[in-house]
Amino acid sequence: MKKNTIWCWVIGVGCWLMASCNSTPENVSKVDQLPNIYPDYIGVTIPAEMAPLNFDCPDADCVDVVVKGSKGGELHVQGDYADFDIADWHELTQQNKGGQLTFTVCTRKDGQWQQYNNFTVNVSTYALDEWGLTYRRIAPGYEVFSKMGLYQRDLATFDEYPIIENTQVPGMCVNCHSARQTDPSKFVFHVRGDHGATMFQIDGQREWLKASNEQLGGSMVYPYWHPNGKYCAFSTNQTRQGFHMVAHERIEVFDLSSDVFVYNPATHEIIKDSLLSTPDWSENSPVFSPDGKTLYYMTCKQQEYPMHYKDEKYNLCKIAFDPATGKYGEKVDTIFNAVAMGKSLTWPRPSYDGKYILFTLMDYGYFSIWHQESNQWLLNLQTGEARELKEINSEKADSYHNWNVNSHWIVFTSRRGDGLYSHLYLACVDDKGHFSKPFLLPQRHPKEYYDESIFSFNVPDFTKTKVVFDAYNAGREIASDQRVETKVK
Amino acid sequence: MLKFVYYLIKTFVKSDFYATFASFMKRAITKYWNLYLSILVGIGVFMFWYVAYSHALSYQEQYQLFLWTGDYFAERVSVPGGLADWLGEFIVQFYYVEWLGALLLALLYVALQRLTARLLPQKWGVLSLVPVLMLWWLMGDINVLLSLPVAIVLALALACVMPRRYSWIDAAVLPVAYWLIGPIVWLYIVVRAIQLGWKHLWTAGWMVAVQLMVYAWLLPQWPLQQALTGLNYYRIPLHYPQWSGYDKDMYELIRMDYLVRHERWDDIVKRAGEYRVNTPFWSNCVNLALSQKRLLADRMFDFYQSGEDALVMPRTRDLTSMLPSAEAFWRLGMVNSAQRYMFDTQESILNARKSGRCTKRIAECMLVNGHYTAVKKQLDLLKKSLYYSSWANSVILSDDWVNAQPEYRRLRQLRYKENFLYSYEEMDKMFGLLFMNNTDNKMALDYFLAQMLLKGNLKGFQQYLGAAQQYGGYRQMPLCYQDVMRCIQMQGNVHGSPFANYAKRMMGGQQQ
Repeated sequence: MKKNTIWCWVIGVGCWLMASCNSTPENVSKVDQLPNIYPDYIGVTIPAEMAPLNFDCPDADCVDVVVKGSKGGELHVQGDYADFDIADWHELTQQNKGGQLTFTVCTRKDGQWQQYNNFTVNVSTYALDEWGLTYRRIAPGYEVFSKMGLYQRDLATFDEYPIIENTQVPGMCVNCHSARQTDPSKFVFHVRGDHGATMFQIDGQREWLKASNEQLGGSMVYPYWHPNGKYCAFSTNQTRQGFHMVAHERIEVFDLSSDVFVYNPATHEIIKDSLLSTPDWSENSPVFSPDGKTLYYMTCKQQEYPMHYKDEKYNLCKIAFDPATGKYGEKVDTIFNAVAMGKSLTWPRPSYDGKYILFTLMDYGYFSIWHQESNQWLLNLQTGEARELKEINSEKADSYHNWNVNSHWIVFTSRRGDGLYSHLYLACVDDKGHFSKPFLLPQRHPKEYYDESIFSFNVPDFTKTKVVFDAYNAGREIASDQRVETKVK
Repeated sequence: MLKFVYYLIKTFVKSDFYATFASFMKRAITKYWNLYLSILVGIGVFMFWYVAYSHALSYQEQYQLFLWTGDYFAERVSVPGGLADWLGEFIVQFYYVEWLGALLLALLYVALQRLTARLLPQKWGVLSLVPVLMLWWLMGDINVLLSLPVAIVLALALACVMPRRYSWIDAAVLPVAYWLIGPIVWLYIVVRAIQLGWKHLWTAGWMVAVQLMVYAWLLPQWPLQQALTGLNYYRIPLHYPQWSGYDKDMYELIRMDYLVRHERWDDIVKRAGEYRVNTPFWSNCVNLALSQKRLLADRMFDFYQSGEDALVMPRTRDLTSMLPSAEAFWRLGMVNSAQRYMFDTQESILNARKSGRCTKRIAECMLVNGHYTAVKKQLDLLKKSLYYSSWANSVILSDDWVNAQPEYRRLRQLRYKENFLYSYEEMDKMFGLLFMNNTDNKMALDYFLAQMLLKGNLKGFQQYLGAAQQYGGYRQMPLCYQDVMRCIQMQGNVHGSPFANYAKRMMGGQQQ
């Protein structure tokens, strides 16, 4: 009996070893095509600091990958999917900065090995000067949400950390987080729900502002820090949602009205101006130029909603801002006329080197994640010319974006995966303003991760360092409803 | 003959056999009374949930989607009380088959009774029924999750198996037990203190320290109150079980929802005649059932109508209210609205669980709308469940397959062709447009006219009554419409008119 048991074990382990993925590719047949890998990392450009580009070959039982650096170094992995050791990967990418990694992929299917054409990945010379990303994760729903929160991701590894989740205060929604030029020592986000507030954390000190101000006529929305950290621009929006009735449309977001203002956290003052609070126009989504002397925002002629929601179309405007006095200029200039093109512009984001404004263009409205046609555009501030970024766009809602601090990397959301769930993509920008092929944010086991994730990733931004946020006490403070009043100057 | 029988009985009673038998029975009852009690508990619990409250099982089952994956298990056991939570959900998934769910519940209650009996002195054995009865009453609160009774049973089982001689072992056992079953481990501490004496109360201090350490180091995203009292015993965070028992009206609504879920339209109409709950939810269920039997136009005002929300409720942030409305939208062909109501219902589950019922309907909506790439996620989830996997596995992501399903093909024909934005306030117009979109959609016609009546739009009703006659397929004018026309002609003075009664109630703002 004992002997039989041992034999059973031997046979079982033997079968397992034979079936498992640990054999050297033999009798390999060559296939004259690129391998079908997920995510599609073929030909992308990555920062040397980026986590390994693990990938799956969905059709294969076993994957054997050899990566060779043009400046030396080699990696070899074999398994159910390409799973690189983080330290080895970084050693290889650091060694090959400015060079290329060549991937040789063999797959085994039904016992037969096949080798595909090699593909390359460029390792950029541009450093990634940030620790990671921050984003909101939420199911792409309608008006109700269950578990959601703000998260941060170490870009050098696969580690993700919650900043705050709504388990702290049930029913709470957190949104629109923003850091000063990717530096989280100045950090802001909103809390929506019964315990609504706007949270400011400046050098570790938290302050919870009353969610809405009667003089303002609403709550603070869409924040953007001034480069000196002494101001934060916001809009205040009377936002409504509409729900489409046909198959290919889902949600529409429109503002009955909106204005733009600047908030001074030191004095709790809201600095308004009649040019930014016009009665017939909706001003929205303000951002500062990197020198802090210009406030960009988008503006739209107010329509009768929801009847004429398709006529909600935004242009990009600017107004001078004096950081010393906190005063606005006296004239508004339109710097990109999207309406003349029959389009609508949204989410302007100036690069921190002052060269460009990246924005999203869509048919109408401004809430681009629900518009499949939305695409990324780049406005060259030196020439005034704008162009569609065809090299990074897709057919499925390319939307919310941000720059890293050296302005050579962008992160943006796209629904190109399945048309519904927004995922994060990164792309490199060279000195001439050319964008590389975007790549999906790497995960340890990307196929499993993205297939099983039932969340969208919203409002991504780079973060220079890990966000230090005391969620324990923040939860208590949110629930306490103790709020600081703001005042209109 | 009678004499003979009398003689036999007398002989039997007087005989030694009788004495032996009586003695045997007495000993058997004394010896096995606990077993009989357990059998009694088991049968009682089974009959209660299978016969009387099977709809309550369905209700609990529809607010979770148990996945047979390692990740799902790991996610559950990553917080204190996770094993009890996982086991609770494991059992609840079988509620899909009502007799099996009731049987598993019965076994759980029997385990509770027997463990209690084992911990009690033998002479107090009958007291083992007390926790059973208390738990039974507590589970009348629909938000009590099965993880609570599971945790209680596990705590008592632990108390039964732990050696009394080595009480110090609790220093190691308590943190593990706390992680697996949550703060119910305090029950174990109390039982051990009773068993081992008050000197054993040091474990209470140790437990407080363990809970605080776990909170400080491992639960940064949870409030202290919840970390101390349990993360997953109750569906609503930071709320606690109520000793409310089995509220008749609430369980009647749950029964209605259950009957809607299983498309038992005749049972709904029958039940509605026997008992009513004056809420929009009840009206939604009854009207949906009437429409499916094509009785809406004849009988809708024979039943309680809550008002303009009697056909479809506005969006409400809770996990139940929108379900019959979503079911109505689905059958009407308002697929986007059905998907939205189902999605918001699912997202309203405050312990952030998914719903097998909602996920399946959301997937169906996506299939009808042809969103084949996005629906994969929903299907992949369902494929990992026990009772929804067969359907999910049968789906083929192609127009040919969808069009081959009669229900989906019909819904594709009924859908709106021209886009506009949903407006609850203009529900009658939306029903009207839906009917105009496809005049075979008789349910839309019925809902269109019914919504106008509920709103009191008699002019509109008269205007479109012709459509009812032309497209409704009625042999004669439906009784309800006849009644309305009489009311219009008699200016409401129609004695015994169901519609006149409704109109008076609405005008008076009274709730019957």
